[in-house]
Amino acid sequence: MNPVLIGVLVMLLAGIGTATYKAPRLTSILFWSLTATIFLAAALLLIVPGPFSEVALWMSLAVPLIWAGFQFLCYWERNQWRVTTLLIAVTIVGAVLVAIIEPPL
Amino acid sequence: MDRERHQRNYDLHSWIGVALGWFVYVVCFTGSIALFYHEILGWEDPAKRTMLPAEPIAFHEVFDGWVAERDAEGEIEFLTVTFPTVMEPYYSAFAHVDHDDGTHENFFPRWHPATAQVLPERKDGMARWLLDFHRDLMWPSALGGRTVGRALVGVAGVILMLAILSGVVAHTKITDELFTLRYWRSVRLKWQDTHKVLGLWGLPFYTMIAFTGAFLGIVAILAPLVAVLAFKGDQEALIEAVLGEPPQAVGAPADMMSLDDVITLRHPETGEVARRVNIHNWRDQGAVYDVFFEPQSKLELVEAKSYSGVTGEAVTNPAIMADTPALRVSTAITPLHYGTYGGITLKLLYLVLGMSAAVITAFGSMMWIERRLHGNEGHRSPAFYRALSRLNVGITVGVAVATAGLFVHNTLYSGTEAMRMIWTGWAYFAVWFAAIGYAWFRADDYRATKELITLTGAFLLIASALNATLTGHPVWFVLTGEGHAPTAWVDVALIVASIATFGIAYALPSFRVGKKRKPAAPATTFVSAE
Repeated sequence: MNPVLIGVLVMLLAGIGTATYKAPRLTSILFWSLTATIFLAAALLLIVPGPFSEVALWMSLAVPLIWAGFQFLCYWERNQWRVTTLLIAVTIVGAVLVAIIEPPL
Repeated sequence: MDRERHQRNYDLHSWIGVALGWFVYVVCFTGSIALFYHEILGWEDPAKRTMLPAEPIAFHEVFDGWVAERDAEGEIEFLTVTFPTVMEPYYSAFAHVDHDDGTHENFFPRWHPATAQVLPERKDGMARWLLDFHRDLMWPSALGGRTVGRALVGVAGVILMLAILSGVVAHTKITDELFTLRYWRSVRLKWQDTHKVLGLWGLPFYTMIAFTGAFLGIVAILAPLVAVLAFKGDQEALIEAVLGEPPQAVGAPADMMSLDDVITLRHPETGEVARRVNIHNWRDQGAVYDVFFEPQSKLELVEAKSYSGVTGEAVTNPAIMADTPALRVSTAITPLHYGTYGGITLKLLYLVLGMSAAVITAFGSMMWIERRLHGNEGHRSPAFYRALSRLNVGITVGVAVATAGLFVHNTLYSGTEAMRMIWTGWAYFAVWFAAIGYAWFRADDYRATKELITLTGAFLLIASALNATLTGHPVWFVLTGEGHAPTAWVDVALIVASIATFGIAYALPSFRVGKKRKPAAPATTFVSAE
């Protein structure tokens, strides 16, 4: 991989890490809720049984609801670290599932 | 709910409004106008005032000749033809042509329904601007193009959903608040009650519009994202997995089924007439017509059937034939969002509710500023909040002035068709920024609001008068039945809107009505009698 790209990615990760540490709720509502939504939707798309086109459409319909739900959870949950951890975990699990499952072709 | 959680939720609701309220306001306001895209399109384009003949002229040969010309220029990637209707009284076609040198070109010709003569070219202008500014903010290509803009508008939908959810949770006395409107009390109470009453009564509509808007916006950027993730970057594979493979050409030439026969087709179950045809593989043995009929249930975007383009026999095209619950729900989203399923009455209801959504967000911002400028909240200087208040007036009322100004600009525009959209954009932003500047330098929010609203009404009235003068299509055609009635109804709407706008401007106060802070009492000195 291009070293410049690696540098940018490292800087980005460091920035997000710092922001998460300093303001977990705010970073969660702005960033982690979105990543969790995208990876959860992509993972569900691959693992939910049924005709792919049907699942894809339902998933598209569900995405705005999932995103708004995650965002709401950020300020609803008492413990600021619990919700942040949950969203990061959903992102990671979703990313792993997307990486290991082959798309239906 | 415990106090801390309630406060957190309330803060979330407030900060969403403060940070993104103007954005949501602009999306709601422009969306309310975009509802009338087809009506405004008829008003701005003289070709749409053509009277629809009882029997449109035979068209197939004309279209065939035109396709042959396009075919000579390159490979036709997409081909569609639309039949005349009252709102769009002409034949129109669209072709996307890939040239041999790798460039692409789109063609949008129109033919007169009675003579089949080509109508003067008309590029997109005001109506398209008003619709697309709502849909994708006319986001510039240099910053990622329309897809980014569309996604941002989708984000506005998600923000609105979050604001609704946190707003409902924040208000613990919903039943009482539904019926509480202390209009004659303090400014803050009046705005606060209006915000709550409008918000609660319109809740189902706002929830629906936020969800459908979020879906329509986000799906534009979600599909490529999901493709990158789930399909390892292969977007075409994703489209094929969702829609199936398009009809393939056989390679053997064939005569096509006449479009003059297609126009007479009726939907086998509903009996509705054909409106549009997507054509695959023109003049090939494997040609397919996807015929889109007037949907029986208006909540469906389309009601389509596929036919062989050669024999006219019904064929199966999985891309449009699927009839599943998910497809039905997703195709209902657009009609639901734009209110196209219940006639003009429903659109007017959408207009009122859409405008009330804009008003709610504006009141939210106004309350936030009012509490800091004349209350005990906030840590910034009064000058900061006054500046914010002026900007609030300029942005919120300015967008109304700019929209009304576009109607005047459209009637007076005399430039080339190629520059129409560009000048429309310049005119829109010029008026909007002028309004923001006026509100800023006027330094009196109450008077600036009244004056800018009056200007909006004046623009609407002038536009209607100019239209009658310049096009010879006056408003009384509504009564006499002459001319193109839908266009005349737009003039009626402009006049009614201008009267309503003048009324609102008249009713608004010229200064802040409220308790003035008592001046500090002078220091009392006791003088000895001696």
